[in-house]
Amino acid sequence: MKSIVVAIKDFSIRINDRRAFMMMILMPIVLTIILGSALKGVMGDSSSAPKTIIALYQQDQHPLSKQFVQGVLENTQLKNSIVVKNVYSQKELNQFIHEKKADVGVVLPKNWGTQLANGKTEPVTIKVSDGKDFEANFVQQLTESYVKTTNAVTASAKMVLSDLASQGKSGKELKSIGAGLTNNLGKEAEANASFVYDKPVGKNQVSSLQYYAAAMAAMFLLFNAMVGGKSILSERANLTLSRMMISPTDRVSIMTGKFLGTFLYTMVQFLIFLGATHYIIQVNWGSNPGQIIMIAIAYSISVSGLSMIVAAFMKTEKTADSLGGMLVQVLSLLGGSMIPISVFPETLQKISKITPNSWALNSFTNIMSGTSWNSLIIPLCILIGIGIIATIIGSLRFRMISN
Amino acid sequence: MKAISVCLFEMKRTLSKPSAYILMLVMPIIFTLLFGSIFGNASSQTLTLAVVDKDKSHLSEALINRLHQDSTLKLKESNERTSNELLKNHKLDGVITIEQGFQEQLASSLSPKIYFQHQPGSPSTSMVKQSLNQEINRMKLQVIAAVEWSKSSKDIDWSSMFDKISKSEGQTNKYTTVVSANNQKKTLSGLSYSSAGFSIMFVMFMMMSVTGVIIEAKNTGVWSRLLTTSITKSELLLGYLLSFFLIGWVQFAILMVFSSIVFHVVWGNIVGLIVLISALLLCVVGLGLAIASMVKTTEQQTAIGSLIIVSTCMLGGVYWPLSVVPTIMQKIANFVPQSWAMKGFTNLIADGGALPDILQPVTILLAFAAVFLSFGLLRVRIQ
Repeated sequence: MKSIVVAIKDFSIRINDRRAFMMMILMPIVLTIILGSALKGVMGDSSSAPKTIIALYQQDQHPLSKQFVQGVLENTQLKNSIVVKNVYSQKELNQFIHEKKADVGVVLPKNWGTQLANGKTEPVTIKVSDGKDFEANFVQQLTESYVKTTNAVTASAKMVLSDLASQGKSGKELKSIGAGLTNNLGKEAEANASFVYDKPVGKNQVSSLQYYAAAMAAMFLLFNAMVGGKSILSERANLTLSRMMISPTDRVSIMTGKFLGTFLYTMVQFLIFLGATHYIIQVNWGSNPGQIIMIAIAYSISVSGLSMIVAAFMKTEKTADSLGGMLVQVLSLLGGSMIPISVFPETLQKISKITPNSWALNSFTNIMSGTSWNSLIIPLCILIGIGIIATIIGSLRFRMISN
Repeated sequence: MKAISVCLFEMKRTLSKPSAYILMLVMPIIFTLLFGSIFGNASSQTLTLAVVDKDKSHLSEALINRLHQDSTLKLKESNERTSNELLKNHKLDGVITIEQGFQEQLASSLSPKIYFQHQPGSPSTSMVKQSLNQEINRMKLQVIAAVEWSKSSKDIDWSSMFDKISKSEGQTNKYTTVVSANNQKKTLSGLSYSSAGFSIMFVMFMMMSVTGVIIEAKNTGVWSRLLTTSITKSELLLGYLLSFFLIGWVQFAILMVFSSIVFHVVWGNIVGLIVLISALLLCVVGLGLAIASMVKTTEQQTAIGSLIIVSTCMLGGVYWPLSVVPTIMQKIANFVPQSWAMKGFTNLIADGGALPDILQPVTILLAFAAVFLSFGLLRVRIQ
């Protein structure tokens, strides 16, 4: 069929353009490697502690303060994450923060320990170096958790003992009860038990790495919408398009051919990305490759359809660049490739349902967590539908402007 | 100077079509609307969670009450089926399930299991897990004390003592005070880096059009025709550079003004901003020119351009905070202009900094700009 010839022509132009071809293969692989290296520590579950250098200004020598420093901050378990540098004045601490010698400054005020023992709290000052919000949050959590636990121990013990005293227990009894209680509470506090466990949303837990792999796939495949559109525009500019139109090939075949060309290009890129992420950084794309391929095909159809709209509604390649680039970014954002959709306000969530990449991303993550073919029917229909509608709109517009 | 005439010529050409300057005005506005509505409202900073209570005991209720008091969470009480539905449809960030036997196990000094389901891409879920764990830890200590009390007390109902203990332990006291390097009070928000990141991405995409214009000029012959005049190649490049710089500035200015009026975004110190944005624009335009000097066809330009934009944004900490990546990656990030631009922006927006605080990122951005521009210039001279 003539459209296949057109598609093959487009594809061979792209392949013969050595640089562009290399980029086509290189881009998914490079993105994969960066993704894998960046999110290595975030695999499975994001509970890794960030590397933090703390400048500690300890104004208090109470045993509770010392316990915080030695038992929590300098704990051997956290040795790989936290490094404590002691400073001896506020000025020195400020200097450390400004010169970036430390990420976070911690000031334990005078009488901190004594106040803590009495169930009161004197706030600890946490000074954050530029851009170290994450590390500061981590230190804040450690500090608050220590304070809350110590408070719990001292306050409970106090309450219990004072109540028993008012019930008439003798001093000796109180002493032994108190000792036993403090012993038990202390043991429990040290044990630092875990109560909260992750449970997957579907059948399998989807890690951050998997999520971002799917998100990146959805996003960079959208770029192909621009590529396909631009090739049509450049042909129009080169007048090769008009030459094709006056040939015996009818317009429909040409358009179909262009459509198929973009489709092929998109599928190839996706398959390379799939292979690269799976084999190089061990991303698990779910147990059903058939489902993944089907969604990929449907998504490629919608992307190719979008490329027709790009070509039809933009006049020059230049506009396609700026507008198209912006469109891709906006669509990626709306589709959840950058921030999870659950963060969006209600109206934006509804708008995100129009974007093909949100359907692709959701389907990919659903497949990763294990899902049935039934639940994929709606996304498949929507993706193919978007592709068809976009193509129709694009072709109609083409006809309008050509006449 | 001749460069200025080239610049004016290019700008006149761009602005001659009404579609062009409508685009120029509309793009930043749409961009702002989008990001403003996501980041503008404070509720985007809180996580919406559902809690499923299968134990329905005194203690599980107490836990839920305590969670309600956490201002970073928006809690809904629900049943298993509804919450699973909501989670699947992205209406919730997570679901906490308290299994049956929670109270019993805590009272016997055991460790009951609480299950947490969450959306895979969510950045703050580990914090939620930690604080949840912490709260239950605290509760267990209080329960142990109450149970011990009941052993020695006349009244053997430990739950009344537990309530007394809970009440006595002050409400949310200030355990910590967080300040920035400038001693300004600050709140640690996970999403503050994103708003800076998106402004940068907006700029990066303008770069794509930069390369496009030059390639178009070369292909249509405008480039060579201009070179037959007495203008030198460097002056020609400079002229184009100037026009991109000005157009870029206009768009960014619109973005800033619009976002501050409509979404009350505080951009920070004006002088610092002007310097930072100029440095960033120079750097990005320089990169665009460098790429334009390397590619011949539009396909190459799209491919290389998008590859560079996406990979440098990934490396530079635009999509996720650099704090979660391994040290080597953090070091690599220093070789990418985005990370420096991010540092500059977050300093101005979130930390209330001024020009002296951002001298380092600005200098580095200018250095990047110089490198890119010289590269582009050299290549153009050779051709």
